[in-house]
Amino acid sequence: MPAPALDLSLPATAAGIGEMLDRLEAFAEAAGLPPALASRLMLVCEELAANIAEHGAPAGARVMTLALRQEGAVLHLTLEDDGPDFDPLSIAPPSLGAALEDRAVGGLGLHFVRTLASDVRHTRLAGRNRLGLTIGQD
Amino acid sequence: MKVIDSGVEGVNLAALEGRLDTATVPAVEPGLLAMVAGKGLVLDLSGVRFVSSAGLRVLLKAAKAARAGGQRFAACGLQPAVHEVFEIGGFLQIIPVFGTRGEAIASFG
Repeated sequence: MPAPALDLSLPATAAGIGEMLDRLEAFAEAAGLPPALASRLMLVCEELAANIAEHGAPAGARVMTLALRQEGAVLHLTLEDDGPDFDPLSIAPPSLGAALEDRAVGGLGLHFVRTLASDVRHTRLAGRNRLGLTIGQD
Repeated sequence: MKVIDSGVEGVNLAALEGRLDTATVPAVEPGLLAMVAGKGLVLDLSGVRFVSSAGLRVLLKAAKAARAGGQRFAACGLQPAVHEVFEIGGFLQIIPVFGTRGEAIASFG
């Protein structure tokens, strides 16, 4: 049996993100992923895709693609977009200690990516951003 | 969003379901903010299976609006995956979280 895999090509919009999450939930169920791993997969993908839709799309990003390969308890992901050169890891981490009144949520999405994904690497290839990463259970 | 009678004067009770993410928050935000105007709010998240930073952003906005209006705001019934998102995002320190509706409502007393 081939390893479970998923390939998606979606518009870089909120609706595209909704469809991506629908497809990821269906994949997680079909592949029998443990709930914690499925949840981390969805969170990391949603945050990176939201970043593309929010910042990349106004600057020209139209399409994002996602390639997912499962290797036992580990998920390998490659996310690409056709927006301007941007490395999400270049954004400074947020201040999580701030009180309610001062708390800003900017940067929180990438904090989730940093916390839950490993081997995150950005490359620029033929006018596209390519982000490779790995998600495990702990 | 499902609005439920809290049984306590001055306290709204509402339940959210499904996913709270970039695609779904625009539909949820206006109703949520209306629920913290003039009353406290207990938000039951037991039917929510996924929250992203976009979902947290809306909850933070509601918490700030409640605080600005002198109202209480609490969440209850977090699923384990949602609890993890609150934890990593540092939200357990800024939004009071309880196991049940009853505990959350009682905390306003």
